[in-house]
Amino acid sequence: MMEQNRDVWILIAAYNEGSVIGEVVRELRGQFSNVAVVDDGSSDRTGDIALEAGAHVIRHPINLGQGAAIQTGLTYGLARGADYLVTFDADGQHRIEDVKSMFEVVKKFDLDVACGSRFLGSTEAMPTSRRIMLKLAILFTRFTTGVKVTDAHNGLRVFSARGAKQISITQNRMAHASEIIEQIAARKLTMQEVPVTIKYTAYSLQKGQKITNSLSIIMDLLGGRMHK
Amino acid sequence: MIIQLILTILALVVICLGLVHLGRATILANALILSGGFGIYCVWNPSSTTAVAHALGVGRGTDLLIYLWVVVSTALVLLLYIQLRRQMILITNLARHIAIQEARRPATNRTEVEP
Repeated sequence: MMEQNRDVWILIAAYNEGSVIGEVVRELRGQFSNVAVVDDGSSDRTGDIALEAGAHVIRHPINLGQGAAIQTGLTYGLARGADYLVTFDADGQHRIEDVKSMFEVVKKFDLDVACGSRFLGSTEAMPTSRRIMLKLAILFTRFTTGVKVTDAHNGLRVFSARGAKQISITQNRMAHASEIIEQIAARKLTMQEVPVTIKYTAYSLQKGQKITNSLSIIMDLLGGRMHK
Repeated sequence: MIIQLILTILALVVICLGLVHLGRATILANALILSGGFGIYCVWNPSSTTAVAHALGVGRGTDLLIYLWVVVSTALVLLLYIQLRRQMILITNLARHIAIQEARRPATNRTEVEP
């Protein structure tokens, strides 16, 4: 398994995830030899813990946001000669089995990118308010990009190197999820959604997006439109 | 009469600021000098703005200035926003460059072949 996955880089953006990052990295390292954690200027020991657990650690000198950290991960993975790049959340809500099934889809259909969709798959313990907010985000993304996504804000994605090279995230904060879909549409990348399971835990819910953030995401996207 | 003197002094300060910046930030300097000069003219000829306002279909010169002020300040906010976003992208690229140069690799991976 280790040898099979040498061309794959798992990229994790992490900001103050010291309590969970070690476990997430160790679990991934059991299956993948290349795991990189982008420590987004954490004030806790996220970077050190991830390094001890066996990940490459790239540390932003200042906190820039999840979008910036994901782009740093993609840039790093490509520079290390990755053939496939996986974005994975730090809080342990994604499952490694899903990475494998998405990976198979990308390889089989020679795709640029596969995106995880929790609405095609199953979800464990998703609160109603979260469900409504995500559905609204999906409508917004479909309306602004014309891409018929079923899940706009899923952090689990598998890129081929060809696909990753065509993505350049300028939305440093949470609007990057929509920006990625926009670029997939604008650059006509081949994309497929793959059902995944999200494990909602008390920890991931506490770290997750609040409804009030939706407005600032929309403002960021409008700002991005004004200036390219 | 006193208010006209106070406003004139303020406008002269703006013009002086513009003169100081002349040669370094030309657009800003010109904008300061012009708006200072325009301000002094308006202060001493209040009827002139009213005449322009009437020609445009606005009741009072003061109202016309308020409308103009709103337009100009909105444009400035947008310009500043774009400038800030541009700077953020530069800072991000700089931070990313430093981060990748100083990347730490796990001890177990030392045997890996350099790309």
